[in-house]
Amino acid sequence: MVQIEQIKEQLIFFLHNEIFDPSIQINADTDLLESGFDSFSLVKLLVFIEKQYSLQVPEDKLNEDTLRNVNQLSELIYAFQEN
Amino acid sequence: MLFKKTERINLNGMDCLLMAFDYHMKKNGFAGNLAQMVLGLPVQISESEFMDRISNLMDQFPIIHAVSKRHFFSRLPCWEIDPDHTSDFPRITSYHLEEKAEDNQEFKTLKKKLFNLPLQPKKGEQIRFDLVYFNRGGMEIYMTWVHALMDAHGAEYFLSMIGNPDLEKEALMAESSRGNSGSDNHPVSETGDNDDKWKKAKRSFDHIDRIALNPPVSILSKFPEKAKPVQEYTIMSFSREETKTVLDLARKKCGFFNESTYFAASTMRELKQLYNKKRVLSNNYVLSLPVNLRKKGTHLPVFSNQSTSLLYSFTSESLLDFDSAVIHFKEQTQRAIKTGLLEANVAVMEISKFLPTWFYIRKVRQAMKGEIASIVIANPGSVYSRLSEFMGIPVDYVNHMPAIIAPPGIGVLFYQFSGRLNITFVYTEGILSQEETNGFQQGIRNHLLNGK
Repeated sequence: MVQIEQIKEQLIFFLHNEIFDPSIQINADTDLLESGFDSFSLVKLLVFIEKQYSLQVPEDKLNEDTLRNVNQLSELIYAFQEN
Repeated sequence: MLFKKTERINLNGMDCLLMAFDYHMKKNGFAGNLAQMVLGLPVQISESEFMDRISNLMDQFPIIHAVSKRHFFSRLPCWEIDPDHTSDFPRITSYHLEEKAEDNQEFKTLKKKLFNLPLQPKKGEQIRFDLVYFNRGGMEIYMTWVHALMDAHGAEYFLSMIGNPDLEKEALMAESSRGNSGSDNHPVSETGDNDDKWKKAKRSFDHIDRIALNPPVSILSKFPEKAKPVQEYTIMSFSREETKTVLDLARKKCGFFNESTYFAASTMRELKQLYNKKRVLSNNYVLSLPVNLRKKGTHLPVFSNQSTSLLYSFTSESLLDFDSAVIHFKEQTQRAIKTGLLEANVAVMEISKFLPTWFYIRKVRQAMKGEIASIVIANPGSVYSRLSEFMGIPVDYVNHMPAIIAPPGIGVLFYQFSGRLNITFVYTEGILSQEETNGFQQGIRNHLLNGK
């Protein structure tokens, strides 16, 4: 099971390299939606989570709160790993 | 004496394809592969004031009046900027009408004329501005551009720069990496070597071939005598309350952040209804969805097309009900990301620069024989484009009107401005009656507002 701090690091690395413009500073608290995250970014993120953690996040768990920032997203992934 | 060198700026793969489609459309009698935006202002800006801003931008960004050429040896298309050449472009033309009323015949005729007026990229006309003044107050600014020069996101930013000089610096930095360096200025173009690109491109061609095995049937081919090489558009707007209803329903039916799925399912369901009404039988319906490749958080670079298209295929059965259309759209989107189809399409664009343009166009047309519902989802007025104000004046509305690339078909563009959803519907004159056009739009509206 991947620890929550490691999940955060991996998510920040992925978002920084694959999704956001280098001018956007990504840390665990950055508001992803305010920073321009869009529907294709979401599909890419879900595919990354599926490959990296071998889990599929159900659609009904994705909302403004869980996608708000890396902290929230990491907690969601961590909780699913536990289950 | 200082010798000023002529500057050549390379087009990226997508720019080249859009230029190829421009050639193809002109060959078929259309004005070309152009795009248009209109800005509605409650207060009038004088032509001289507007001209001053454009003159300043011409100095900063000479690409807006560069000449479209091909490199002598490689034959690759490029923008050529001759520092000694004095340009007559961009043209700025003023029109004066009594009032802005949608049922005013004079206004209708002018809008259609502006939408079908060709540009001359080989002479340096990449952009044109038409200022429409209304005697009873307010004005509209029409910006029409050669699609190969920039996409809708770039155009939004450029229009924002006209209205807000503070945005120039950022755009100048983004453009400075281009020029003679040969950089494609394309975010995905640097990935992989040439062999890798050809392998990826094959994957994209295979996808097109699969769709082409069961191609859609064209309405146009059933009624060729009625079609004219002229495109028309109508714009449907939703109130803020209606927009909220639509977005809430989209989330409920398709999940968080899945408005595009909701819009696509509504459009494809209604496209099938349209075929039924026209008594054209087709077992396949194709949807082309442009995907913005810019890294999120920026609208830069301005002067290039940073997008690729994903082709979706819907069987007649998959459009039997709304939920089925949603499932098929989602499945194809996920598959495209998982199998790397997006990167494969980018690779096609890269290598297509070195292929004869007719090759790619013929290939794509195999899969796009029908009246394709081309969907674009944009968001003018967002924090990045800063179009809510123009030269200090609050903007009433922003609309997008892109020409629909060959084969002549149906394009539906979804975008929001100031909390309101707008849909621009573009089609080739003659293939649909007024009643059918209204029915198609009303049908999409009903799907969106009722979620079925």
